[in-house]
Amino acid sequence: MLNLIKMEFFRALKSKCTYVLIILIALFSILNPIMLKLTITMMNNSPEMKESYTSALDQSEQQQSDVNVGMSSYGSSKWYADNYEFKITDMSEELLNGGFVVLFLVIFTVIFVSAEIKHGYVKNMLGQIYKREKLVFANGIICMLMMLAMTVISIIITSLTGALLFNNVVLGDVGNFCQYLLTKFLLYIAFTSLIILLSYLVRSSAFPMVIGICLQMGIGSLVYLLISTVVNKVFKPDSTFSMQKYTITGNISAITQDASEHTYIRAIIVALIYCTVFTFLACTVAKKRDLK
Amino acid sequence: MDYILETSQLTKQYGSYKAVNNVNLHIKEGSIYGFIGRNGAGKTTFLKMICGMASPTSGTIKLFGTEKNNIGTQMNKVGVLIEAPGLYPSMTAFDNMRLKYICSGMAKPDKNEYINSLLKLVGLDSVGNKKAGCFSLGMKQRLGIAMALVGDPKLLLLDEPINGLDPQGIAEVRDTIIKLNKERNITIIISSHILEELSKIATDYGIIDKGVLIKELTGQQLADSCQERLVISADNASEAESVIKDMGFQKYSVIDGNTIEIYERYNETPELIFALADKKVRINSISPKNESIENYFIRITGGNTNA
Repeated sequence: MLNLIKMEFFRALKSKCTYVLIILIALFSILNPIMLKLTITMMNNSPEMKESYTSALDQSEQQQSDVNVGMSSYGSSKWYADNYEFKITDMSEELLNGGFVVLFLVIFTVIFVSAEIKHGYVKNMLGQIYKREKLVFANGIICMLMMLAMTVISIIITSLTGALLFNNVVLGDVGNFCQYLLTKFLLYIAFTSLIILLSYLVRSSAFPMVIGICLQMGIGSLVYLLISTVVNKVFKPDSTFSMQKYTITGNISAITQDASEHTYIRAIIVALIYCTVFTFLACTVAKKRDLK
Repeated sequence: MDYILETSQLTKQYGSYKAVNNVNLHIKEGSIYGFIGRNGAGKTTFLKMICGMASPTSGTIKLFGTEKNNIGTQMNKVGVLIEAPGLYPSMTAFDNMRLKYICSGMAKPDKNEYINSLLKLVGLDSVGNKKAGCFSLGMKQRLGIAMALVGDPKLLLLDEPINGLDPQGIAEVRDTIIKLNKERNITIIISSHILEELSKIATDYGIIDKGVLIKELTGQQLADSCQERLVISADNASEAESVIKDMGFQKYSVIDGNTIEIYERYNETPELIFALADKKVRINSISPKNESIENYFIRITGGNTNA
């Protein structure tokens, strides 16, 4: 198993995709605070624009529903308040909530896992992986390492860029941020296990890539909303059942540093259940299915 | 006899179709086993079951004297090249090899030297730093063999290793296989439908058709079956035999009550006819026969389609 992980790690290091995605996440991590700085500067020059922009943000915050389609960062009016204290933990949270890490993680997972199946390299390792489910775990561990690398890099770069751009920068509540980060990690791992399962199941990269990106972009929340509406109307007309609460992507967007303890517990349970189920299914597919 | 690979009633069924049907195959250590069969005969499916790419519907596989289900890490001793070689085209030949080296858990003092020695063995040492995607079909095939050799296997499964190769490529792969067998004492199973080529290297044969193993025979037995001979059809083979014996023929065999085959001194056929006539042995026909391995295969599989 360790040899398999070492091999997959070597492959990840030799893959261009790894470096391209890390460079991209680094660029986004630099660009996000720069964009914020530019917007703040622009608004400080035009108070009318600032007022209309922040009131629009406030309005959209109040109207926030279960359906969140697309990707965005710094979508709160607090960032544009006068003498705002820029917390590094908050800036990192904005970047993670923006969904770039998950998006790149989906791309990496699909490319990395599918390559092995597509090019048939797995045939060379039959002597070593007589228990094929080991390969699923090895793939999962490498994807986790990639997730860690992307998250750490994005946090470091965002912090450095923020410290350079803004005067009033503080670290923030590290303990609270760690709790937030660990929960996010768990949800990301569950999401990755879904993508690995899809890659093994369909043996192609297009389908899991499309599904992964669509889910990450929030397209799934439209489906969840539809199901929730049907469930509420048919079974419990008075209840406020929301399927979004029991999905990985729903919990990824629900988890913030300000989220309640209940939300955290629910997110952890959801992540653990999905991760276990998807990993079990992926292992079963890898084990039972004949190789082509 | 100790076999390195033994199968018993091995079967693979897809729906109602049996791709491999109750195959009992035996491979001796140190042999080059030619697995002959036409396209779709079940050769690849059989090899896939041996190496673990496909699971058998029923039957057992014994590898190195152990049932395959319990073989565990001993599977490390099996090198595989099934169909096209599995390579990452964007990685160099060396890196493709290195991946397998890492996966094998080998700890050679000089891994680069080890990998280069394998590349040299298959004649790819000068292009080790080239991307595998840029390789010709023959080069990829040879790289596939080199990959299969990482981990120093005792048994090598090669499925159609010369498919699509030009004559030069075929000769190179053939030389490599012979070298591996002789110098490293690796037992090799080669499946192919290019029979003449297979006959140049194989020491034992298994003929499979429609999923059924029709016959297993040694290289000598196959050569005997295909060699030039004089076929005598007589009313009484025992009478004819005594004449043949009297004339001093030694290489002959009585096939049945009416047929004798002689494998030597074909230029003495007229004298033989006179001697048989003298002894009043009634001869129905006497004819030379020289069967190619292809004809032998076609005859034994009862068909006339390509092998």
